[in-house]
Formats: sequence, structure tokens, C-alpha cells
Amino acid sequence: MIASMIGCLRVDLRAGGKQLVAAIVLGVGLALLETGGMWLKAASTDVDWTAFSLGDNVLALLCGMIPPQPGERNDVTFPVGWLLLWAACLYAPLSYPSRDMHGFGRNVALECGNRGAWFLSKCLWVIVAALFFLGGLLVAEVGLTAFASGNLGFTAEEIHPVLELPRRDDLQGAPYDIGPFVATCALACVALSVLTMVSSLFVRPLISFSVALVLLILPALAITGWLPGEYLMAVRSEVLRTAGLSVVQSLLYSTALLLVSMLGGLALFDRADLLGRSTSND
Amino acid sequence: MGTVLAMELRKAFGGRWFKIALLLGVVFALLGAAETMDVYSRAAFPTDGSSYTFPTSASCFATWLGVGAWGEGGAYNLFFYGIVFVAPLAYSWSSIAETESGYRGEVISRCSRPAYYFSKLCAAFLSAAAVVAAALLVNLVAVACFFPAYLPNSYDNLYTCMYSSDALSHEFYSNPALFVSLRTLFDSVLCGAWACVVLSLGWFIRNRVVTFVGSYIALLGIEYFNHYFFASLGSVYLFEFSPFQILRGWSYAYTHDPVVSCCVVAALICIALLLTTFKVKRDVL
Repeated sequence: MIASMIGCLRVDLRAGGKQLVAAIVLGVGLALLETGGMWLKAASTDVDWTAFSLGDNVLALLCGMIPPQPGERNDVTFPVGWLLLWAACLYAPLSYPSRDMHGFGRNVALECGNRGAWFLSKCLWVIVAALFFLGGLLVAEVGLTAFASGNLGFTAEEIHPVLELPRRDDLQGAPYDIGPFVATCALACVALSVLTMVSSLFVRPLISFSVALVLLILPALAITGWLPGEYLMAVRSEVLRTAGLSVVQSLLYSTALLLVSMLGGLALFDRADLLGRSTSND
Repeated sequence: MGTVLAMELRKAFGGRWFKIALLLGVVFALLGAAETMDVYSRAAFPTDGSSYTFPTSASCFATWLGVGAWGEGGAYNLFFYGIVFVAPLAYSWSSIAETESGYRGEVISRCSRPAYYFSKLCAAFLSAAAVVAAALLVNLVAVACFFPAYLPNSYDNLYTCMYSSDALSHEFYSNPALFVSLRTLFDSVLCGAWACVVLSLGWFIRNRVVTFVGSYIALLGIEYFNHYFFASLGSVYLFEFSPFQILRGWSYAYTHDPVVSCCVVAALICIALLLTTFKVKRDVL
């Protein structure tokens, strides 16, 4: 099984090489675009962006939003940069594995006699793609911070005026140590990517993306602790909120989501009718 | 052209994907209505026993998604960010599917090429527009079951968020039914035009994920540009040009200029027509 899986993964890394490169390019490109935009916004509000540390820049990227309360109307802006980031992260997981379900990839799954190895290699490929995306993002952020301030610490102190958070008692003041959040956020990103990929194998990738959009946008509605999007928002973690999601809770949730997606998907894929799947959309 | 157009319309409106898109749109619209009711009931009747029911801002015209008083939370955003992805699902996939299956080759050898391509554009436009119009009207019906059809009062603009500078605000306060019709028409046309762009991209890109998800991500990038890079140009007149924002009655960031909104629709239609014309003139073999 393991030998078959390694063989399948090697094929996937070669066949899905373009999508892996696209994941890195998207990660780097979005980090440059969004951090550039945030610096411009900071400059236009007389905030010294050259003092931002790596933690400040990453926090601005991953902040997200907290749900509005009645009467809190002017402070609510939907985090479009945050949505753009995670929607782009799902591009590679949706693009390659579901495409490989047809043609050569399907023949490999049928003829290697071990569907589990084929499926698990796709999961590993998606984990690699998500890590490449996050790696590209982080490397670009390190480069930008080294150029601007040279402060590569994960402590965020200066960014608060740019985040446009409402004044609430449950929000903590700076400084924020976002190191642990970055680690749990990476795990949540991997879990969401695997969940999206697994669902794209059983329903169409476009439906799978629609569901992922719901899982990303609905956290703006409420604090539940059950939606994956909440674990990708720094403002929902205990870093910024006194009663926020703890590191342990985030680790448990993301690990459980990852395992359920992989094991549930494996059980379903083992019995799925691969030959009967239609390739047309009509 | 008439026969081909009738055939395309039958395929578009009778297809499984039109029903899926319609279902998703209606679910998003009902979630939006539920959120509005929840937010209003918590704000107007707090747990301390006091109550102020804000009568005219609690009109079904003000709480409708096209205005969004009392409900600019997750479901409200889900509708406007989601419907732009969902509307093209109705029929814009057909350019890729028919190229892959060989159906396109069969059809264009039996009728004129412009008739086939432009009929397909019309079908994609109308099916996406129908999905958006149906979703918005379902939302209006849902909120009308909970909120009375008061004529909104301009004194309540703090709660309705429709100020005199907003597009169509005069119609909103004087004839809300006309306002609902005009906004529904505009949103339908905008999403129909976007569906045409996605369909036209499908003539050149065979990968569905790249065509649908890639173009959607590009649209999110335009919104980011609108709100961050454009915002830094503080000395110029700032306006919304992101399709996600101009679909709404108003937005927190900048004003909605009706001329700009119409230009965005025109630009989308021009892009779709240019791509399709290029495809029509291209050698099939």
C-alpha cells in the first residue's frame, strides 16, 4: 500500500506540477498585492507602515472580521482580501485531482488495484499544494518586511489602526503574539483544502467551490466554533479576543476535519463507481 | 437564428445546472431573509424588556436584500459574493462541455456560426439573469411575510442606510415597488453580462476550474483593487466599480455612481461580444 501510494504521489507531483507552481505564484502574488494595498491604506491614514513587523503584515492579511452587533453599522466591512486569499488557495486542490479522475488518472486508479493508494496520494498532493501556497505567502511577506522594517518577529504592535476593528470589551489590545495562530491557521488551511478536494471528487468541482465559499463567508455571520472559516481568522482566535478560539481547540478541530475528510473520503472512494461517472455537464 | 435560439433557450432553462443554480440562489436569498429577521428581532426587542420597533425602516422594501437594512452580516455577504459565482453555473458551462463532446462541431456545420455563438450568449445571459431575479424576488416575498409593506421614510435613513446621494434613493422613498423592479433588473443584467463573459472565456479555456474559479478570483482581485489601491488616491472622486458592490443598493466604502455601474455592465457585455466575435471569425479547423 505505502509503495503504491509513493508511486502514485510521484506521478501526481509530476502531472500536477503546473498547479503546484500556480499555487506558489498565487501565494507570492497575493502577498505582494494585499500587503502593498494595506501599506497604501496605512500611508493614506498617516500610519507609519515602515515600522510594521512580520507579525503586523501577516496579521493584516489573516485578520478576518467579527460579526456585527445590532447598531454597529459603520464599522462593518467584509474582509474581501481575506476571502480572496483563501479562495485562491483552493484553486490548486480543485484544479488537478478532479481532472485526474478522467482519462489517464482514472485508468491508473482502476488498474493499480489499490484505490486507497491513489486517493491518499491525492490527499498528500493537496497538502503539498496548500503548504506551497502558504510557503509562497510567507516567503513574500518575509521579503517585504525585510525590505520595509527588517523586523522579522511574529509580534504585532503597530497594525491595530489599520485593522478597523470595532471598539469592544472582548477585544484585546496590542501587542499580539501571532506565532501560534499562524501554525494553527496553516493546519486549518490544509484541512479545508483536503475537504474541498475530497468533495470535488464526488460532486463537481464547481459545486465543491460553492460549498467552500459558503464555509468561508458564513463565519461573518456568527461565532460558532464549527465553521472552518473561523479558524482562518486571527480576530476569532484568543490572540485578539479574550474568549477566542484557543490553540488547542484549533488544533483539535483542524486535525479532526482533516482526518474525517481523508478517512470518510477513502471509505466512499473505495466503493465509488468510477467508470459510470459522466464527464459532461448537461 | 430563431430555431437555434429557441433550442439554446430550451437547453438552458430545462437543464439540471439551471435548477442547481436556481436552488443555490434561492437558498442564499432565504438565508439572507432569516438573518434580517433575526437581527431585527434582537435589535428592536432587546432582552431588557425595552422595545423600539423603528416602524418605517422595518418595511419589507428596506429589509429586502437590495437595500439590506438590518441584515448586513454573513448571509447578506454570502448572497452578493455567492450569486456572482452561482449565476453563471446556470448555462455558462455549455461552451466547454459542447466543445469537449464534439456537439459544437456538429451544430456549426448545420447552421450559421454567428447564429450558434450569439444564441448561446443570449441563453447564458437570460438564464443567469433569471436566477438572480428569482432569488431577489424570493427574498422580497420572504421578508414581506415578516415585515409590513410600509412606505420607507427618509427620516429613517440612519437605519435604512439609503441616503439622498445613493443611486435610486428618490425612487426608494417615493415608489419602493419601482425601486425593487429597477434594482432587480440591474442586478439581473449585471449577472447576465458576467455569465456571458464566463461563457466566452470557455471558448478559449477548456478547464472549467480555471474558467469559473479563476475568473471569480480575478473579480475578487478587482474588488480588492477598488477598496485598497483606489482608496489611496485620496484626492480624486472615489466610487465603486467592483461588481460585488454595485450589485447592492449602497456600500460602506464609496458611493454608487449609476453612470459607472452602467459602464461596468457595458464593459462586461463588450468583452463577451469581442471574445465571441473573435471566436466566430476564427478558423474552426
